[in-house]
Amino acid sequence: MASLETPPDPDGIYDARGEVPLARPITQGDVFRGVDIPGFDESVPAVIITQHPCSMRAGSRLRERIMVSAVRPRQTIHSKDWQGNASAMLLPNLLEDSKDYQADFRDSGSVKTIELSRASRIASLTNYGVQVLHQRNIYYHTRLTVDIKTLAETYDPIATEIELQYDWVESALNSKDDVALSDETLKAISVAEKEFGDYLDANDSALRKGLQNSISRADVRRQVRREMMNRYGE
Amino acid sequence: MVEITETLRDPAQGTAGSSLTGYSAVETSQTTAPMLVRAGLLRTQVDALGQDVASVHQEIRDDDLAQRAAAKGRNGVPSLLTELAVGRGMAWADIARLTGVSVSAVRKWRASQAASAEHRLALARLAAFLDLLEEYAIEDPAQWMEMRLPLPPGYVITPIDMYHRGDVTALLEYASLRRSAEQMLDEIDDRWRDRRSEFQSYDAPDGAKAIRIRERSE
Repeated sequence: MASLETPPDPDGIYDARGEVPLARPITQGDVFRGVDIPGFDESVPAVIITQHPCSMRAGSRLRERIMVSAVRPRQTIHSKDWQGNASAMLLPNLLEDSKDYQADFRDSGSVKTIELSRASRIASLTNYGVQVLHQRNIYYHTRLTVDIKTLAETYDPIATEIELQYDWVESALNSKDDVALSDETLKAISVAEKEFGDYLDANDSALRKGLQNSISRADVRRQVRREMMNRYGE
Repeated sequence: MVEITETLRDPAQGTAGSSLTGYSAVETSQTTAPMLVRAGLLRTQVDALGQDVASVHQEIRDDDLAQRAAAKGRNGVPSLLTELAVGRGMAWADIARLTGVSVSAVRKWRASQAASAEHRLALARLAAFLDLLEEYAIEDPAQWMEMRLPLPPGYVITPIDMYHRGDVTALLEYASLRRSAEQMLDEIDDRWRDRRSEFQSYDAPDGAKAIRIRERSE
Protein backbone atom coordinates (compact mmCIF):
# COMPACT_ATOMS: atom_id res chain seq x y z
CA MET A 1 0.00 0.00 0.00
CA ALA A 2 1.48 3.33 -1.06
CA SER A 3 2.04 6.09 1.47
CA LEU A 4 3.02 9.71 1.03
CA GLU A 5 6.67 10.00 0.12
CA THR A 6 9.24 10.99 2.72
CA PRO A 7 12.28 12.20 0.76
CA PRO A 8 15.37 10.43 2.13
CA ASP A 9 17.37 13.55 1.34
CA PRO A 10 15.22 16.71 1.33
CA ASP A 11 17.85 18.53 -0.77
CA GLY A 12 17.10 15.96 -3.48
CA ILE A 13 13.80 17.66 -4.30
CA TYR A 14 15.58 20.80 -5.58
CA ASP A 15 17.20 21.23 -8.95
CA ALA A 16 18.14 24.86 -8.36
CA ARG A 17 17.77 27.34 -5.50
CA GLY A 18 18.48 31.04 -5.46
CA GLU A 19 19.50 31.56 -9.04
CA VAL A 20 17.75 29.33 -11.55
CA PRO A 21 19.41 29.11 -15.00
CA LEU A 22 17.54 31.28 -17.51
CA ALA A 23 17.50 28.49 -20.09
CA ARG A 24 15.51 26.17 -17.84
CA PRO A 25 11.90 25.96 -19.06
CA ILE A 26 9.22 27.27 -16.72
CA THR A 27 7.42 24.24 -15.37
CA GLN A 28 5.62 22.60 -12.46
CA GLY A 29 7.44 23.06 -9.16
CA ASP A 30 9.06 26.38 -10.09
CA VAL A 31 8.91 28.97 -7.28
CA PHE A 32 8.56 32.70 -8.00
CA ARG A 33 8.81 35.83 -5.87
CA GLY A 34 6.66 38.92 -6.27
CA VAL A 35 3.59 37.28 -7.77
CA ASP A 36 0.13 38.02 -6.37
CA ILE A 37 -2.66 35.49 -6.59
CA PRO A 38 -5.91 37.13 -7.79
CA GLY A 39 -8.60 37.25 -5.10
CA PHE A 40 -6.17 37.29 -2.18
CA ASP A 41 -6.11 40.43 0.01
CA GLU A 42 -2.51 40.00 1.07
CA SER A 43 0.64 39.44 -0.91
CA VAL A 44 2.37 36.13 -0.43
CA PRO A 45 6.16 35.74 -0.18
CA ALA A 46 6.23 33.40 -3.17
CA VAL A 47 4.14 31.07 -5.31
CA ILE A 48 4.81 27.62 -6.74
CA ILE A 49 3.42 26.23 -9.99
CA THR A 50 1.23 23.25 -9.14
CA GLN A 51 -0.28 22.59 -12.56
CA HIS A 52 0.89 19.47 -14.37
CA PRO A 53 3.21 20.36 -17.29
CA CYS A 54 0.98 18.50 -19.74
CA SER A 55 -1.88 20.88 -18.97
CA MET A 56 0.15 24.09 -18.58
CA ARG A 57 1.84 23.73 -21.96
CA ALA A 58 0.49 23.90 -25.49
CA GLY A 59 3.27 22.16 -27.36
CA SER A 60 6.44 23.76 -26.04
CA ARG A 61 4.75 27.09 -25.19
CA LEU A 62 3.01 27.96 -21.95
CA ARG A 63 -0.72 28.53 -21.80
CA GLU A 64 -2.01 31.99 -20.91
CA ARG A 65 -2.85 31.22 -17.28
CA ILE A 66 -1.23 28.80 -14.84
CA MET A 67 -2.32 27.42 -11.45
CA VAL A 68 -0.12 28.32 -8.49
CA SER A 69 -0.22 27.91 -4.70
CA ALA A 70 0.99 30.33 -2.04
CA VAL A 71 4.41 29.63 -0.50
CA ARG A 72 4.95 30.84 3.08
CA PRO A 73 7.47 30.25 5.89
CA ARG A 74 6.58 27.56 8.42
CA GLN A 75 8.02 25.88 11.49
CA THR A 76 10.92 23.45 11.13
CA ILE A 77 10.12 20.45 8.96
CA HIS A 78 10.87 17.06 10.52
CA SER A 79 10.95 13.74 8.70
CA LYS A 80 7.57 12.67 10.15
CA ASP A 81 5.91 15.82 8.80
CA TRP A 82 5.95 14.37 5.27
CA GLN A 83 3.33 11.82 6.32
CA GLY A 84 0.97 14.57 7.47
CA ASN A 85 0.39 18.17 6.32
CA ALA A 86 -1.83 16.85 3.56
CA SER A 87 -2.78 20.30 2.31
CA ALA A 88 0.78 21.37 1.65
CA MET A 89 3.97 20.67 -0.27
CA LEU A 90 6.84 20.94 2.18
CA LEU A 91 9.81 23.00 1.04
CA PRO A 92 12.63 22.55 3.56
CA ASN A 93 15.53 25.00 3.37
CA LEU A 94 13.99 26.47 0.22
CA LEU A 95 16.40 29.37 -0.01
CA GLU A 96 19.35 27.56 1.60
CA ASP A 97 19.10 29.84 4.62
CA SER A 98 18.03 27.02 6.99
CA LYS A 99 14.43 28.29 6.99
CA ASP A 100 11.59 26.02 5.98
CA TYR A 101 8.60 26.87 3.80
CA GLN A 102 5.46 25.19 2.55
CA ALA A 103 3.19 25.61 -0.44
CA ASP A 104 -0.41 25.69 0.73
CA PHE A 105 -2.77 23.97 -1.72
CA ARG A 106 -5.75 25.65 0.03
CA ASP A 107 -4.47 29.02 -1.16
CA SER A 108 -4.31 28.43 -4.88
CA GLY A 109 -5.32 30.42 -7.91
CA SER A 110 -4.70 31.04 -11.55
CA VAL A 111 -2.18 33.73 -12.55
CA LYS A 112 -1.23 35.21 -15.88
CA THR A 113 1.77 33.37 -17.28
CA ILE A 114 3.42 36.65 -18.18
CA GLU A 115 3.73 37.37 -14.44
CA LEU A 116 5.88 34.27 -13.95
CA SER A 117 9.10 35.76 -15.23
CA ARG A 118 12.43 34.00 -15.26
CA ALA A 119 13.94 36.95 -13.41
CA SER A 120 11.71 36.32 -10.39
CA ARG A 121 12.16 32.55 -10.32
CA ILE A 122 13.94 31.53 -7.11
CA ALA A 123 13.80 27.74 -7.15
CA SER A 124 12.99 24.75 -9.29
CA LEU A 125 12.42 21.11 -8.42
CA THR A 126 14.03 17.92 -9.71
CA ASN A 127 11.87 15.34 -11.47
CA TYR A 128 11.65 13.55 -8.13
CA GLY A 129 10.67 16.78 -6.37
CA VAL A 130 7.92 17.37 -8.93
CA GLN A 131 6.63 13.84 -8.34
CA VAL A 132 6.51 14.45 -4.59
CA LEU A 133 4.61 17.70 -5.23
CA HIS A 134 2.30 15.92 -7.63
CA GLN A 135 1.66 13.08 -5.17
CA ARG A 136 0.75 15.49 -2.38
CA ASN A 137 -1.43 17.62 -4.65
CA ILE A 138 -3.37 14.55 -5.83
CA TYR A 139 -3.77 13.43 -2.22
CA TYR A 140 -5.04 16.86 -1.15
CA HIS A 141 -7.67 16.93 -3.88
CA THR A 142 -8.76 13.27 -3.85
CA ARG A 143 -7.44 11.54 -0.68
CA LEU A 144 -5.80 9.08 -3.05
CA THR A 145 -2.14 8.13 -2.63
CA VAL A 146 -0.49 7.30 -5.93
CA ASP A 147 2.92 5.67 -5.62
CA ILE A 148 5.93 7.64 -6.81
CA LYS A 149 7.03 4.97 -9.31
CA THR A 150 3.76 5.20 -11.24
CA LEU A 151 3.89 9.00 -11.13
CA ALA A 152 7.45 8.89 -12.43
CA GLU A 153 6.54 6.56 -15.29
CA THR A 154 3.71 8.85 -16.33
CA TYR A 155 5.90 11.93 -15.98
CA ASP A 156 8.84 10.55 -18.01
CA PRO A 157 7.64 11.74 -21.47
CA ILE A 158 7.12 15.35 -20.41
CA ALA A 159 10.27 15.26 -18.24
CA THR A 160 12.23 14.24 -21.34
CA GLU A 161 10.66 17.01 -23.40
CA ILE A 162 11.47 19.61 -20.73
CA GLU A 163 15.05 18.34 -20.40
CA LEU A 164 15.56 18.51 -24.17
CA GLN A 165 14.01 21.98 -24.34
CA TYR A 166 16.42 23.08 -21.59
CA ASP A 167 19.37 21.63 -23.59
CA TRP A 168 18.17 23.29 -26.78
CA VAL A 169 17.76 26.75 -25.27
CA GLU A 170 21.04 26.43 -23.37
CA SER A 171 22.84 25.57 -26.61
CA ALA A 172 21.17 28.45 -28.42
CA LEU A 173 22.21 30.88 -25.66
CA ASN A 174 25.74 29.48 -25.43
CA SER A 175 26.22 30.27 -29.09
CA LYS A 176 25.73 33.95 -28.23
CA ASP A 177 28.26 36.28 -26.64
CA ASP A 178 26.12 37.78 -23.88
CA VAL A 179 23.63 35.64 -21.94
CA ALA A 180 23.01 38.00 -19.00
CA LEU A 181 19.40 38.73 -18.11
CA SER A 182 18.15 41.27 -20.62
CA ASP A 183 15.25 41.77 -23.00
CA GLU A 184 17.47 40.51 -25.77
CA THR A 185 18.27 37.27 -23.89
CA LEU A 186 14.62 36.71 -23.03
CA LYS A 187 13.74 37.20 -26.68
CA ALA A 188 16.45 34.73 -27.70
CA ILE A 189 14.99 32.20 -25.24
CA SER A 190 11.53 32.70 -26.68
CA VAL A 191 12.82 32.23 -30.22
CA ALA A 192 14.78 29.09 -29.27
CA GLU A 193 11.76 27.59 -27.48
CA LYS A 194 9.64 28.14 -30.57
CA GLU A 195 12.29 26.55 -32.79
CA PHE A 196 12.45 23.59 -30.44
CA GLY A 197 8.66 23.17 -30.53
CA ASP A 198 8.63 23.43 -34.31
CA TYR A 199 11.35 20.79 -34.58
CA LEU A 200 9.43 18.36 -32.35
CA ASP A 201 6.20 19.00 -34.27
CA ALA A 202 7.73 18.48 -37.74
CA ASN A 203 6.78 15.36 -39.71
CA ASP A 204 3.40 15.00 -38.05
CA SER A 205 4.96 15.39 -34.57
CA ALA A 206 6.89 12.13 -34.98
CA LEU A 207 9.47 13.09 -32.34
CA ARG A 208 6.87 14.37 -29.88
CA LYS A 209 4.96 11.11 -30.27
CA GLY A 210 8.21 9.21 -29.81
CA LEU A 211 8.60 10.77 -26.36
CA GLN A 212 5.51 8.92 -25.13
CA ASN A 213 7.15 5.53 -25.46
CA SER A 214 10.17 4.37 -23.47
CA ILE A 215 11.21 2.28 -26.49
CA SER A 216 11.79 5.35 -28.67
CA ARG A 217 12.80 7.97 -26.06
CA ALA A 218 16.57 7.39 -26.27
CA ASP A 219 16.40 7.72 -30.04
CA VAL A 220 14.48 11.01 -29.75
CA ARG A 221 17.20 12.34 -27.43
CA ARG A 222 19.92 11.37 -29.89
CA GLN A 223 18.13 13.04 -32.80
CA VAL A 224 17.33 16.24 -30.92
CA ARG A 225 20.85 16.60 -29.49
CA ARG A 226 22.48 16.02 -32.88
CA GLU A 227 20.19 18.64 -34.37
CA MET A 228 21.19 21.05 -31.59
CA MET A 229 24.86 20.46 -32.32
CA ASN A 230 24.27 21.04 -36.02
CA ARG A 231 22.48 24.31 -35.35
CA TYR A 232 24.44 25.75 -32.44
CA GLY A 233 27.70 23.79 -32.27
CA GLU A 234 28.97 22.23 -29.01
CA MET B 1 10.39 -41.58 -4.53
CA VAL B 2 10.90 -45.17 -3.52
CA GLU B 3 11.92 -44.13 -0.03
CA ILE B 4 8.78 -42.04 0.41
CA THR B 5 6.56 -44.90 -0.72
CA GLU B 6 8.28 -47.18 1.72
CA THR B 7 7.62 -44.77 4.57
CA LEU B 8 3.97 -44.31 3.68
CA ARG B 9 3.55 -48.06 3.42
CA ASP B 10 4.65 -48.53 7.03
CA PRO B 11 1.49 -48.86 9.21
CA ALA B 12 3.47 -47.43 12.12
CA GLN B 13 3.72 -44.11 10.31
CA GLY B 14 0.02 -43.32 10.77
CA THR B 15 -3.02 -42.79 8.60
CA ALA B 16 -1.19 -42.04 5.37
CA GLY B 17 0.45 -45.44 5.53
CA SER B 18 -2.76 -47.25 6.34
CA SER B 19 -4.58 -45.51 3.48
CA LEU B 20 -2.11 -47.09 1.09
CA THR B 21 -2.72 -50.63 2.36
CA GLY B 22 -3.25 -52.96 -0.51
CA TYR B 23 -0.81 -51.29 -2.82
CA SER B 24 2.48 -52.97 -3.52
CA ALA B 25 5.42 -50.62 -4.00
CA VAL B 26 8.02 -51.46 -6.60
CA GLU B 27 11.44 -51.24 -5.07
CA THR B 28 14.61 -50.08 -6.76
CA SER B 29 16.46 -53.00 -8.19
CA GLN B 30 19.82 -53.97 -6.75
CA THR B 31 21.62 -52.99 -9.96
CA THR B 32 19.93 -49.59 -10.24
CA ALA B 33 20.33 -48.55 -6.58
CA PRO B 34 24.09 -47.81 -6.66
CA MET B 35 23.72 -46.04 -10.02
CA LEU B 36 20.98 -43.90 -8.55
CA VAL B 37 23.17 -42.94 -5.61
CA ARG B 38 26.11 -42.22 -7.92
CA ALA B 39 24.00 -40.13 -10.30
CA GLY B 40 22.61 -38.14 -7.37
CA LEU B 41 26.11 -37.53 -6.07
CA LEU B 42 27.35 -36.46 -9.51
CA ARG B 43 24.43 -34.11 -9.90
CA THR B 44 25.20 -32.50 -6.55
CA GLN B 45 28.84 -32.14 -7.59
CA VAL B 46 27.85 -30.60 -10.96
CA ASP B 47 25.50 -28.17 -9.22
CA ALA B 48 28.31 -27.10 -6.89
CA LEU B 49 30.72 -26.86 -9.81
CA GLY B 50 28.15 -24.82 -11.77
CA GLN B 51 27.91 -22.38 -8.87
CA ASP B 52 31.70 -22.15 -8.68
CA VAL B 53 31.96 -21.55 -12.42
CA ALA B 54 29.20 -18.91 -12.29
CA SER B 55 31.03 -17.20 -9.45
CA VAL B 56 34.34 -17.23 -11.37
CA HIS B 57 32.55 -16.00 -14.51
CA GLN B 58 30.97 -13.13 -12.60
CA GLU B 59 34.31 -12.18 -11.02
CA ILE B 60 36.02 -12.13 -14.42
CA ARG B 61 33.18 -10.10 -15.90
CA ASP B 62 33.32 -7.59 -13.04
CA ASP B 63 37.07 -7.33 -13.59
CA ASP B 64 36.49 -6.85 -17.32
CA LEU B 65 34.03 -4.04 -16.60
CA ALA B 66 36.52 -2.40 -14.23
CA GLN B 67 39.26 -2.56 -16.90
CA ARG B 68 36.95 -1.16 -19.56
CA ALA B 69 35.93 1.62 -17.18
CA ALA B 70 39.59 2.43 -16.48
CA ALA B 71 40.26 2.64 -20.23
CA LYS B 72 37.19 4.82 -20.79
CA GLY B 73 38.23 7.00 -17.89
CA ARG B 74 41.17 8.21 -19.95
CA ASN B 75 38.66 10.25 -21.93
CA GLY B 76 37.77 13.63 -20.51
CA VAL B 77 34.48 14.29 -18.73
CA PRO B 78 32.99 16.35 -21.63
CA SER B 79 33.81 13.51 -24.00
CA LEU B 80 32.17 10.93 -21.70
CA LEU B 81 29.10 13.11 -21.31
CA THR B 82 28.79 13.53 -25.08
CA GLU B 83 29.11 9.79 -25.53
CA LEU B 84 26.38 9.06 -22.97
CA ALA B 85 23.97 11.87 -23.89
CA VAL B 86 24.42 12.34 -27.64
CA GLY B 87 25.88 9.01 -28.75
CA ARG B 88 23.78 6.80 -26.50
CA GLY B 89 20.80 9.06 -25.86
CA MET B 90 20.65 8.87 -22.08
CA ALA B 91 18.74 11.46 -20.07
CA TRP B 92 20.81 13.88 -18.00
CA ALA B 93 18.60 12.97 -15.05
CA ASP B 94 19.58 9.30 -15.42
CA ILE B 95 23.27 10.05 -15.96
CA ALA B 96 23.20 12.13 -12.78
CA ARG B 97 21.34 9.48 -10.82
CA LEU B 98 23.63 6.66 -11.92
CA THR B 99 26.78 8.61 -11.10
CA GLY B 100 25.48 9.76 -7.73
CA VAL B 101 25.30 13.51 -8.32
CA SER B 102 22.64 16.14 -9.00
CA VAL B 103 21.51 17.10 -12.49
CA SER B 104 22.84 20.60 -11.95
CA ALA B 105 26.28 19.11 -11.18
CA VAL B 106 26.22 17.26 -14.49
CA ARG B 107 25.22 20.46 -16.29
CA LYS B 108 28.17 22.23 -14.66
CA TRP B 109 30.51 19.47 -15.88
CA ARG B 110 29.16 20.08 -19.36
CA ALA B 111 30.07 23.70 -18.96
CA SER B 112 33.68 22.57 -18.38
CA GLN B 113 33.60 22.64 -14.60
CA ALA B 114 35.91 19.95 -13.20
CA ALA B 115 34.51 16.67 -11.88
CA SER B 116 36.22 14.65 -9.14
CA ALA B 117 38.20 11.54 -10.10
CA GLU B 118 35.52 9.44 -8.41
CA HIS B 119 32.74 10.93 -10.52
CA ARG B 120 34.80 10.71 -13.70
CA LEU B 121 35.28 6.99 -13.03
CA ALA B 122 31.54 6.59 -12.36
CA LEU B 123 30.81 8.15 -15.77
CA ALA B 124 33.41 5.90 -17.40
CA ARG B 125 31.95 2.84 -15.71
CA LEU B 126 28.47 3.70 -16.98
CA ALA B 127 29.80 4.19 -20.51
CA ALA B 128 31.70 0.88 -20.30
CA PHE B 129 28.60 -0.87 -19.00
CA LEU B 130 26.60 0.29 -22.03
CA ASP B 131 29.40 -0.98 -24.30
CA LEU B 132 29.17 -4.36 -22.59
CA LEU B 133 25.40 -4.48 -23.10
CA GLU B 134 25.94 -3.94 -26.80
CA GLU B 135 28.18 -7.01 -26.85
CA TYR B 136 25.27 -8.97 -25.40
CA ALA B 137 23.36 -8.17 -28.61
CA ILE B 138 21.38 -5.37 -27.01
CA GLU B 139 21.07 -3.04 -29.98
CA ASP B 140 20.21 0.17 -28.13
CA PRO B 141 21.60 -0.02 -24.59
CA ALA B 142 20.25 3.37 -23.43
CA GLN B 143 16.77 2.40 -24.56
CA TRP B 144 17.09 -1.01 -22.89
CA MET B 145 18.13 0.64 -19.63
CA GLU B 146 14.89 2.61 -19.36
CA MET B 147 12.48 -0.09 -20.45
CA ARG B 148 10.40 -1.84 -17.81
CA LEU B 149 11.60 -5.33 -16.86
CA PRO B 150 9.17 -8.03 -18.06
CA LEU B 151 7.38 -8.56 -14.75
CA PRO B 152 3.76 -9.25 -13.81
CA PRO B 153 1.41 -6.21 -13.92
CA GLY B 154 1.95 -3.72 -11.12
CA TYR B 155 5.75 -3.83 -10.95
CA VAL B 156 7.58 -0.88 -12.45
CA ILE B 157 11.30 -1.69 -12.28
CA THR B 158 13.82 -0.77 -14.95
CA PRO B 159 17.48 -1.73 -15.49
CA ILE B 160 18.26 1.88 -14.50
CA ASP B 161 16.74 1.15 -11.08
CA MET B 162 18.87 -1.98 -10.78
CA TYR B 163 22.08 -0.17 -11.78
CA HIS B 164 21.27 2.62 -9.34
CA ARG B 165 20.90 0.06 -6.54
CA GLY B 166 24.37 -1.27 -7.37
CA ASP B 167 23.10 -4.60 -8.74
CA VAL B 168 25.34 -4.46 -11.80
CA THR B 169 26.45 -8.10 -11.65
CA ALA B 170 22.86 -9.32 -11.42
CA LEU B 171 21.87 -7.03 -14.27
CA LEU B 172 24.60 -8.50 -16.48
CA GLU B 173 23.32 -11.99 -15.68
CA TYR B 174 19.90 -10.86 -16.88
CA ALA B 175 21.28 -9.06 -19.93
CA SER B 176 23.20 -12.18 -20.96
CA LEU B 177 19.98 -14.22 -20.66
CA ARG B 178 21.34 -16.36 -17.81
CA ARG B 179 18.53 -15.22 -15.52
CA SER B 180 14.95 -14.11 -16.05
CA ALA B 181 13.94 -10.75 -14.57
CA GLU B 182 12.05 -12.49 -11.77
CA GLN B 183 14.94 -14.84 -10.98
CA MET B 184 17.30 -11.85 -10.87
CA LEU B 185 15.05 -9.95 -8.48
CA ASP B 186 14.41 -13.02 -6.30
CA GLU B 187 18.16 -13.42 -5.83
CA ILE B 188 18.83 -9.84 -4.77
CA ASP B 189 15.64 -8.66 -3.08
CA ASP B 190 13.25 -11.15 -1.52
CA ARG B 191 10.69 -8.38 -0.85
CA TRP B 192 10.32 -6.96 -4.33
CA ARG B 193 6.93 -8.64 -4.79
CA ASP B 194 5.60 -6.68 -1.79
CA ARG B 195 5.91 -3.42 -3.75
CA ARG B 196 3.13 -3.90 -6.28
CA SER B 197 1.40 -0.74 -7.44
CA GLU B 198 -2.38 -0.48 -7.37
CA PHE B 199 -2.15 1.96 -10.28
CA GLN B 200 -1.17 1.77 -13.89
CA SER B 201 0.03 4.26 -16.41
CA TYR B 202 -1.83 4.25 -19.74
CA ASP B 203 -2.07 6.24 -22.97
CA ALA B 204 -4.98 8.67 -22.65
CA PRO B 205 -7.09 9.66 -25.70
CA ASP B 206 -5.20 12.99 -25.93
CA GLY B 207 -2.00 11.04 -26.62
CA ALA B 208 -0.38 11.79 -23.26
CA LYS B 209 0.16 9.41 -20.34
CA ALA B 210 -2.41 9.18 -17.57
CA ILE B 211 -2.96 7.07 -14.44
CA ARG B 212 -5.82 4.79 -13.45
CA ILE B 213 -6.46 2.19 -10.79
CA ARG B 214 -5.44 -1.27 -11.95
CA GLU B 215 -8.19 -3.78 -12.70
CA ARG B 216 -8.63 -6.33 -9.90
CA SER B 217 -8.23 -9.18 -12.38
CA GLU B 218 -4.71 -8.10 -13.33
